[in-house]
Amino acid sequence: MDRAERNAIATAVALLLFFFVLIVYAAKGLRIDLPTCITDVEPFKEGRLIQHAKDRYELHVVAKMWLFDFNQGQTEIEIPAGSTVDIYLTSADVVHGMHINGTTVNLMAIPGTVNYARYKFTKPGVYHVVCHEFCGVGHQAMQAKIVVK
Amino acid sequence: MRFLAPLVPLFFLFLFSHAQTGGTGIPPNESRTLGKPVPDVVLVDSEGNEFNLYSLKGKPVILSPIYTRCTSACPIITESLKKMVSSVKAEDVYILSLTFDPQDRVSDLKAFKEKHSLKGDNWKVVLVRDKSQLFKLLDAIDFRFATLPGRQFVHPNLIVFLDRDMVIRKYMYGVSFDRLEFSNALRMARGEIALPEKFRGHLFLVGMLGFVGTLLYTIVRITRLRYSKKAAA
Repeated sequence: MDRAERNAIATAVALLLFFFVLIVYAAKGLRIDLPTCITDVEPFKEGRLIQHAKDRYELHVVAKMWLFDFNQGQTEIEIPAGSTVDIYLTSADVVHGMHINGTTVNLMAIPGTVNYARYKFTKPGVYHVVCHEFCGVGHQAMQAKIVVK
Repeated sequence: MRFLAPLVPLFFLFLFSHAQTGGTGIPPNESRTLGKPVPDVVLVDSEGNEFNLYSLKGKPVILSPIYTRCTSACPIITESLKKMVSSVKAEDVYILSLTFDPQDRVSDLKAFKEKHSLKGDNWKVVLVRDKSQLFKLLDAIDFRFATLPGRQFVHPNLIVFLDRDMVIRKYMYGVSFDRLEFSNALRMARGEIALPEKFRGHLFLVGMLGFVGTLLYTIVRITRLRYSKKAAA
């Protein structure tokens, strides 16, 4: 084997290991959760915001052309600061994406399945939600708002 | 036989990696909860008596999260738990059927207890008095549920074993339980088998090191083989 070739392979393996360690660190050290896809439930048809306790919410989002149904057709919701929200997302038609700006929540809305992530909104402010998966002519207008007070 | 050496760490990785089976909804992340204590919350039992969870310290506790209106999994879990408890003669444990439905009332608990004829002081059907505290407890065991219309829920089917100091020791999944696995879990909760628990925190590290080690060793061996062949030629 040529010396240069050997060096290239060694560098590639070292980089792979480095990234592997980074992934492990993200999962174990930083405790970053990956979205969980739930395939064994029937997806809900309507968006709902359910309050379980004063700082505990469940948000069922239906993404459809071209809006996010947060709560019975509303695209804007209000929650108090410090709330932990269980976000369940599904799609009524095609594949959509949902990114809550300024947070780590980034989910795909896939028809027939439910995607899940948990997020604690500690900082008050307006969180804009955008669709980041091209879904038709109205894609650029598909957005919503979460107001944290 | 020497070529088998790199397979040894891989074997251990498979041996100690527990695959989660069964259950619906979002399964708990055991690596974040095992070995940690649950918070002290105020519970209300089916008779309306209030007591602290920590007042049960001294005996192991089996925590079974259910909701009283459940028509599918929870009644089956409760029945199989009843069968297990009587078959392994677990008299020295408390069993808490804990409702996670924030809207359940004491009357619901009473109806549930009567429906399943849960007798004895050791088996309590309880709710958490304060809703914020309820979610603290559920977070401690990493129990997540999704609400469906008509006060139904999607939830993982599991029971949790706490030891006498209210530390989470073991999860069991499914709606029916294996007798041997159940009695082993009880022994863990009683503190009779404690050794694997001490290593649990390092299991992942050991597995990962084994994986990386195997990989490096294989690469080195392959390159050496190539070199020796070249040298021979």
